[in-house]
Amino acid sequence: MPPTESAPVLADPGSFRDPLSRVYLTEGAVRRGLSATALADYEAVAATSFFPAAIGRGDIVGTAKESGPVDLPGEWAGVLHHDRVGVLSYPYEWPFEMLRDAARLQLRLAREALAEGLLTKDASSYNVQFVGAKPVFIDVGSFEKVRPGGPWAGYRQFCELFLNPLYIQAIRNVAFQPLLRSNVGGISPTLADSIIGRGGRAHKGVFTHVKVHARAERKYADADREHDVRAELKRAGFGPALIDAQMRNLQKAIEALTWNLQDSTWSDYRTRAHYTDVDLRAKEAFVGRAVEGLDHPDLVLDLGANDGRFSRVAIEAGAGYVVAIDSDDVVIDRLYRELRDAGDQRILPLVLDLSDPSPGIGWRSRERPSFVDRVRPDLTLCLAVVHHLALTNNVPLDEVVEFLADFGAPLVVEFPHPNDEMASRLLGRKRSGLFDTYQVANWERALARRFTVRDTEVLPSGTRTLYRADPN
Amino acid sequence: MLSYLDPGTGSMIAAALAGGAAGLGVFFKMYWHRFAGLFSKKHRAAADEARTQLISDAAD
Repeated sequence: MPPTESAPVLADPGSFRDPLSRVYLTEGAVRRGLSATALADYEAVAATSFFPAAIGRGDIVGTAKESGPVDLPGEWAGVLHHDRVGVLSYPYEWPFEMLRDAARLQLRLAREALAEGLLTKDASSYNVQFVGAKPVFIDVGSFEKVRPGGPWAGYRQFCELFLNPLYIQAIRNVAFQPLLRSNVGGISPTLADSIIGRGGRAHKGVFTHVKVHARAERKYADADREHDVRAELKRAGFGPALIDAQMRNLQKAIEALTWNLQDSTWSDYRTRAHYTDVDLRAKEAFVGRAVEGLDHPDLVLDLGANDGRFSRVAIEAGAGYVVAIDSDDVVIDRLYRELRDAGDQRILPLVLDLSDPSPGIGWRSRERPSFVDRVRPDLTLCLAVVHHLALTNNVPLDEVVEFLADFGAPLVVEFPHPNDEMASRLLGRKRSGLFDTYQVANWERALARRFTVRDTEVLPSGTRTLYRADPN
Repeated sequence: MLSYLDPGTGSMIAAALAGGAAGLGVFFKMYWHRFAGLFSKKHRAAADEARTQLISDAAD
């Protein structure tokens, strides 16, 4: 699509690191400008047998070379057109198994490419996106011809953004998400070594990829000495056979990991012992009607999705795609594996703490946009969440409503009354008088400031109210 | 020309170690070149050339 004055062609703020290509977002399209070198690399990868096969499987984002004149800003020799990936998510929003599947895809594609004389020049987990529970490699500009004698330049990045996060979670049960969110470059070998400590040696690959890697980096931090050894290593020759063996080694290290899913606060929630069946059925019917009323909304955002029960209700009622978020990585990991095993591509499960959602990070805080900037739903579901924000996180009811209004979409929200079993349990932990404002009337006043309520229903147990509301 | 990511020496050593037999071959060759360089002018010249090549790569 040619650029118009009303829609300026903007370079994607996350695509600048590789100077040989750059991604531009125009209305309805993702386009990639290629330098002459990158164009030659693309033509080489397009001529392989693995590349079209991977696109066919959905492992690589749908890509075609544009035939028209180059109309992107900058000096580009050619332009690629990519299919859009619905909602972008980042590794600090993925649970363990999602990151592992992304790593599997990265290695698989890199090895398939290597067998045909190409390699990925980098190995960033940001190069993988998820369509529902299916990982998709999006950085077609990453493939380049193998340089004789050269090592795999992406190896260190693979360790920082795939392997080390998986290691620390599997070995030490240290959540990788906060570390990835605070450092866009990932977890360095030295940091991983400090976290894993002495005990981790027994785990496959830790000695080489973490211990030796960290020690050798420290030893060769001195530039002169580094050049000598690098020259010697290069002269001795890093052939494709070595690189393939190295990737096989990484694959084995990743497959050998297990994260002992511990019982988290919410992992037993699916039993929903505190709900009566009648309440659940009423809630499902209410959500179903709200989705049907919007006539096939493209995107539903399910806040506090837990086991994805209402995400599935939304799909059945005609929603095109659901982003299902929960702050508990154990339940999201489980939901992801269920969806993956069922081949689902319509529900994207993500780890996100509503009281502290992903901010913009990286270069100028724009390289990876905030969650609210990335996700523009047609309907927001906020079920069994408000009392946690208000009573656990001390967020005033007005502020809860402001947050829901940030998404700019119609809303289905549930408010547990102060005498609800769960709400009263939370209230019981507070000093009396502090949360007297937690009342249905106050909630409804707060809601009315930003939304117009179209429909309400008190659940049969009488302690929770559902609202269907449109933004003002 | 080098890639936009710079493979550090530490990463190259870990990579060779992870590369099993092929990696051992690289280490063996590297130490053989060093050892041979003690006695042979030709080997020393080749090592210097490799170093010059690497520095000019890095300057690209």
